[in-house]
Amino acid sequence: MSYALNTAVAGLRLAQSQISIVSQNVANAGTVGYVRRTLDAKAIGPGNNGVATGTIARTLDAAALKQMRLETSGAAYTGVNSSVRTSLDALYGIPGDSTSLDGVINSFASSLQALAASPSSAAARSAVVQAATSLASQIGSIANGVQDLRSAMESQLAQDTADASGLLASIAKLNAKISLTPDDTGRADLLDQRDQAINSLSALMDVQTVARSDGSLSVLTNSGVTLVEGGEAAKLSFDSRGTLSPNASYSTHASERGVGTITATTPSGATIDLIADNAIRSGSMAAAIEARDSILPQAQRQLDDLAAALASAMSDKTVTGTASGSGIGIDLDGIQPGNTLTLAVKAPDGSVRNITLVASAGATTALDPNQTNDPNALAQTFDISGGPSTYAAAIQAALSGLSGRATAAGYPSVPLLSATGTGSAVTIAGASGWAVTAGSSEITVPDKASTTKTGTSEFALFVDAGAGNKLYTGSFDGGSQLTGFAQRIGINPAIRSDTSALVAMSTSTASGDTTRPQALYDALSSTNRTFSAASGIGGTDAPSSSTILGFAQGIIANQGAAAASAQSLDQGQAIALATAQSRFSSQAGVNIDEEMSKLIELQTAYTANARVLTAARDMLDTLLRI
Amino acid sequence: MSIQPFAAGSYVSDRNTASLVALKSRLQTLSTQLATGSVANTYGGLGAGRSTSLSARATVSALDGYMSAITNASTRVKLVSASLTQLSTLTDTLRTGLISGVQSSTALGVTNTVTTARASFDAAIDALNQNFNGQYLFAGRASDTQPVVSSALMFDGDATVPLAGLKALIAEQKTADGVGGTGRLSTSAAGNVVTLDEDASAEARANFGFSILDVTSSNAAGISANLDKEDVVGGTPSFGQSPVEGARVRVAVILGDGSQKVIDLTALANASDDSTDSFKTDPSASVAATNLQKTLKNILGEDATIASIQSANPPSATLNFASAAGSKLDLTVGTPAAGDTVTIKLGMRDGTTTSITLTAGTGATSAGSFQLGATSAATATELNKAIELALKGAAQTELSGSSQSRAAQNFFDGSSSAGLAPRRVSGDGYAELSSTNTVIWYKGDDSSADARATASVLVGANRQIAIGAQANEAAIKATLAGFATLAIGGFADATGAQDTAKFAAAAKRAEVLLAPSDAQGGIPGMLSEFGVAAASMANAKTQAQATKTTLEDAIGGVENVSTEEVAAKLLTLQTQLQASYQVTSTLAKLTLVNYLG
Repeated sequence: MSYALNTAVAGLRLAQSQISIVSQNVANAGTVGYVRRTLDAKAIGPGNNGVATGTIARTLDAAALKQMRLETSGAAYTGVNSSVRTSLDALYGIPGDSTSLDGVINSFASSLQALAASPSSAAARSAVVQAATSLASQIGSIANGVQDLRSAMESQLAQDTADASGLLASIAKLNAKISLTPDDTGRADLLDQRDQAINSLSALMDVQTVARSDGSLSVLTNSGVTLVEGGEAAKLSFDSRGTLSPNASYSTHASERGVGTITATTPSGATIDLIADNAIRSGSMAAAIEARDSILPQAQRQLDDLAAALASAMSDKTVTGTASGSGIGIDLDGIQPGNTLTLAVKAPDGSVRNITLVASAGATTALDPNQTNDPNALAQTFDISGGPSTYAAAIQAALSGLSGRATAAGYPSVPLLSATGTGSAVTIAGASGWAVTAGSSEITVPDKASTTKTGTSEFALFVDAGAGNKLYTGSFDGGSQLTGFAQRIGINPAIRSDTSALVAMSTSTASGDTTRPQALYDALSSTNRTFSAASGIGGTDAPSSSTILGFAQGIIANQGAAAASAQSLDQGQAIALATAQSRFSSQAGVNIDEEMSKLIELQTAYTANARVLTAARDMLDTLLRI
Repeated sequence: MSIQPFAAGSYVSDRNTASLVALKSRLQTLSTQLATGSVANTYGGLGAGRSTSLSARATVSALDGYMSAITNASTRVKLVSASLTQLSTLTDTLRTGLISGVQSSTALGVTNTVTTARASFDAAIDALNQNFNGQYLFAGRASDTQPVVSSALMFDGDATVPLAGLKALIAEQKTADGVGGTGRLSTSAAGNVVTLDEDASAEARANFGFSILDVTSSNAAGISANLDKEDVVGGTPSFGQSPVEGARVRVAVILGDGSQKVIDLTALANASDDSTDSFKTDPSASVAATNLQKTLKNILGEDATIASIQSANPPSATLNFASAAGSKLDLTVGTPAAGDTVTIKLGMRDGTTTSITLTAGTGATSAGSFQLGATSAATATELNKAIELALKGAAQTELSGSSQSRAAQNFFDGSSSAGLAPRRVSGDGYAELSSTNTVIWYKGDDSSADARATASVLVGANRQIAIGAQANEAAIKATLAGFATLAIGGFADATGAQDTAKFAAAAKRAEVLLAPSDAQGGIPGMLSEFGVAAASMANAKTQAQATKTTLEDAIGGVENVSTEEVAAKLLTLQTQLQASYQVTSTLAKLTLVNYLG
């Protein structure tokens, strides 16, 4: 009899506990990170003649949780990526609007057409200056927008790093608490908090977790860097640079780095550069890093290339070498620092490789071919400061330097070339089966920006306004003139103050001479130019060839397509995330209907137990009355 | 964007809400599309058609440029045509009057014609100074310069500078031609022989006065004529210094009919061997001079007889004449009978000829007849006197007219380019150093070989239409010279009365200048060129407009939404949203909580 009583009391206790779990579940139905809990009954005693309260369990699908974290990282990545791409796309303007990039460049082309139709009209000349000014300022403002986006990425990274560091610290703290908490309810709360912290962390960066026997969880990056181990967490720090300029770029060398990087300091004091380590591959931080260091710099390069093409197409002439035997002869008269000499070199095995030699006012040095049009070329500067009589020797020195580097780098075949010549006419020839098959040079005609009467149609309409209205030649002396040129491009003040220079090639040019206006229009609309592979128009491996108008359209179309595809990727990822969340929720979520039905069930059980108790009491009473 | 933490318990309803919000935002996107008419406000949103839209927009912009250039150029061509029509009308009016010959028969008619010619000349200058939008249409590339100076300056020059005008040039020319005398021929009688000699200077014979072409005697026994005819000899050109690139040289050559043709040549380093407007310059001045002769041969088809050369300094072109005898006519007088005639045919340097006929008679010797004397020698003396009188008469009429028209042509050949000023008389020929003190009537650009090419309109990516014009084009120059020959007057004789014969001689030459030449087509030829240009432009414009329409359709297809389609989508969405709201609200009520007692 007392068994029955005890069992009934135990049943009542169990029902009460279970009702309290139900009430906890119902109350926390809308709580972020709360995982539905259950309390099982446990049969005890011989012959199962009793019941005891079991442990509180969290109904969690570990696989679903893991997948959800993966998708969270992915969705955060595509989300940031899509928002950056969309903002970037919006910088180029509204389709068909006169202030969009293609609108201003088309207006500039139209103004040149009008000038070619009536060269002596002062109004037509002013219109060209006006259109050129708004084109330059539009390119500049788009480029500034690009750098603003980069700066925004930089500050977002700073914020995200701080958040991630805080989350790691709290995960470590929770680890310590969990291993010390024996109480089921308290432990479940801590576990909920820890899972939630890891979920939040995976939105920032992709991590993997490993459960330890003491109930703690280790957090590692996918590259294997341990961020949390037991109660200890690595500190993440970000040395933000605030506002970024086009020259600020990431480098693994701290001294050359112009942007911030994420440093993890382990409890033992070791530091790891997580960006150099490629430790962050997904999540919003990975997207921000990619935007800051690759997407936006490419957009900047496209604008720089566009600005440089506008300036060079109107001021440079192309000199083509004449082939003779295994070499070419070319006249480099008037070459200026920054002007290039491109040679197509054929190896004895028949393969062809380009050599890009860039004129410089200093000693010959190696050049990163990515800075030139062809990333696969061998690039080197050559010293022209000694005047035309030293050109051949300077080119020879550059070719030797190039061969030296190629040998040191272990290239299978090192070009054997020699340069000879007197004065500005140089002959570059190959030996031992090597041959120079073609060569051309872009030479800036005016010696300075203010020289507008060059005697030919070439003159500087656009100048490097950010550097004291200097002539743009693409010089690498004292840093690349190309980098950030989009921000600095401006119209030559000599043209602004005397618009007749748009027509007058010399003092004797008739005011109705259409040669120069026509040449300007042709340079913009019909002459094909080579654009760098780094700009990514037409592939990132080989330089592309198009007109300036075509290149500008290419930029807009390219960024538009990238934005559209980033958006659709993001939409796809959002669906994947929703699916994962839904799968997780189906287990971990509180279903009110389910809880209510359980409540009814528990009420019934409670009533039943109470009934048993009453019956037992009645029976005891009957017994006692005997 | 960041991923927000979520509550697993309320996930289903949260998700439902998110779907409703997404549906609502689509509704907003559609209503924005309906309001703006555009698919998207970024290039990313345009979809795959964005490249089409970008390139079509660039092409439309270029087409707009072509069309506005055509609109502008059409007006220009219309104005040029109007000016040329004006010139043509003036020419026709004056020429009709001259052909009818009515005006030249009376002194009043002469005065009237001179006045008309002057008025026409001024009107022609006005037409040539036509300006459109600040651009002078007949100035070639120098479109900001008024191309033609005033007629007063042209005629009278400017004494303050001083600059010689056309009147001074005509006076010089007349003096050089011997208009006041016997046209540079000399006659003498020795015994029974009358000798008529051309000028002793070969250079003078090549440029001025009469030349003796032929003689006929009606009675060879009475007067026997013996013409020792010598061809006109040209000079040999040489340069003081080798001509630099672009140096201009003016050469006058003598054609088969005795007339002079002025040829302007440019020195170019890369002139082709068969060039007809330039000669190859060379470091050696003598080679350059040989090249000059080669080019002249290219033009004429034979070795040129050069009468004069003119250039600036440098290259200081000179012409050397070898001394040679001129033609000589001996008339040996026997015993001519009354009525016997001797006719001498004389040539002038514009290719025209005149004849003087002397008839033997008993009356006193006059310009047309000579008195038979008692002896052959006496008759010869009279014949000599008669020839001199006849020559003087011919010089005053025919040669005067020839001088006047040649001086006028010479004047209108003048241009502002170095070396191409009007030729000025100097000694027995024309000055070799280009004059700096002569009025240059044309101030525009004359550096281009083709006047049409001085202005062109781009009507397509690779299609240009030449619409330039210069006031110094050959047809206009000839017309102006024709007007000026008459307009300048100077037909009065010593007494002040108009000399109708003198006028007729000038009018005859003016009429030739005013007549459209077959070779160049004259002003009507120019008019038809501009007509063709106008038609081509209209054609190009139509084509551009059609292309533009097509491209705009393409842009519309990419960038614009179809209102009907969006409206239909909106309605569907509205229904969908309403249904969703309804169902969501109904489902929300369906919870066990509501049924717990």
